[in-house]
Amino acid sequence: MQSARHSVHVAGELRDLIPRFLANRRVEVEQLRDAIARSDRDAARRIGHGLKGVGGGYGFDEISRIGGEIERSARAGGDELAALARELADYLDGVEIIYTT
Amino acid sequence: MRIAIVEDDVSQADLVRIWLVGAGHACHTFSRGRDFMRVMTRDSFDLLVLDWELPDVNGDAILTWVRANVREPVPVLFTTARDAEADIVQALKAGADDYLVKPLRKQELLARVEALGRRARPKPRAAEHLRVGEFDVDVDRRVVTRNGVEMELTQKDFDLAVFLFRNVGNLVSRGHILESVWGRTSDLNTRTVDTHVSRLRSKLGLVPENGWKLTAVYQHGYRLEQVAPEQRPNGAPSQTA
Repeated sequence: MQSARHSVHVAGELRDLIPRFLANRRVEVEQLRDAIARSDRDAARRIGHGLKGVGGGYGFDEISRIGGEIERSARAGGDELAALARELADYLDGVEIIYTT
Repeated sequence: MRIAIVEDDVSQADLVRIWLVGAGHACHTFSRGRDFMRVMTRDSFDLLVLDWELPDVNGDAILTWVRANVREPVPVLFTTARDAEADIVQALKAGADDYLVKPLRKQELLARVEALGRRARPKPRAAEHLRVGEFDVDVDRRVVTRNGVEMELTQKDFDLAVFLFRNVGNLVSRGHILESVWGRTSDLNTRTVDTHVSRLRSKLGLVPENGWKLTAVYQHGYRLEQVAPEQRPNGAPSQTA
């Protein structure tokens, strides 16, 4: 299934940082899936907390939103964690970056 | 300013660093709290940007350690994705000077950093003078006078004098002095600092007989202090020009 495209405006000064930023988020998707498989909700909470804190600073408000949902779900029992991991992975696959000056 | 960023998230640290460096600050990043605390025993910074959730030591524990072990009143800006009122109160009560909720916003971060720097080390406006003891520093004209007599200083001597006079009583590391006076990109080593400090001590007469102590602190740096009259050798009065 093709991911929906999301356009994000990112400050040009961050251009060199974006590849590492996105690679780190993809690593976190895998870490989140591992945490779900181990039923490690605290690890999932920490990943969500980190995503919530870092996404918006780069302009990826959606990553912060999903991170906040992951953190909340992990605290509440974790029922939605698998769906949120998919949502984050889809977002990362579909995001389109437009650099601003 | 020379700023330490204690942050385990690489992307977050990258972001804060690029913003602060872009604003003219020199940044040192630490991903582990214990690494930072080890460095802090022999180094100094103008400001700390401290994350709360670190893998080895929590930010509030680092903050408590800094306040207990670092004599200089270095300002601390706490950054965390925790946004509950109780969290903010806890950080401020632990000794943080300010608190920013992540995700960070560039202009707000820079403005708060500047405000903390201003409060910690007020700079004279260009037209004003910095007066410390018998010294008067005209920042605009780049002239230091002692009891009205102009001192002969090179450009670097002047920059070093201003840095030390703005940090009277504070222990400042050689690295801190090097970056503040010569700039972050300088390829000089800290022996340059020792040479210039020694020369400045001599040129300005920063010795106990004149009411000053410019002390080298082993494996750390220097501290410039005023000496009370009763503590001067032979109770010597301050030198007059």
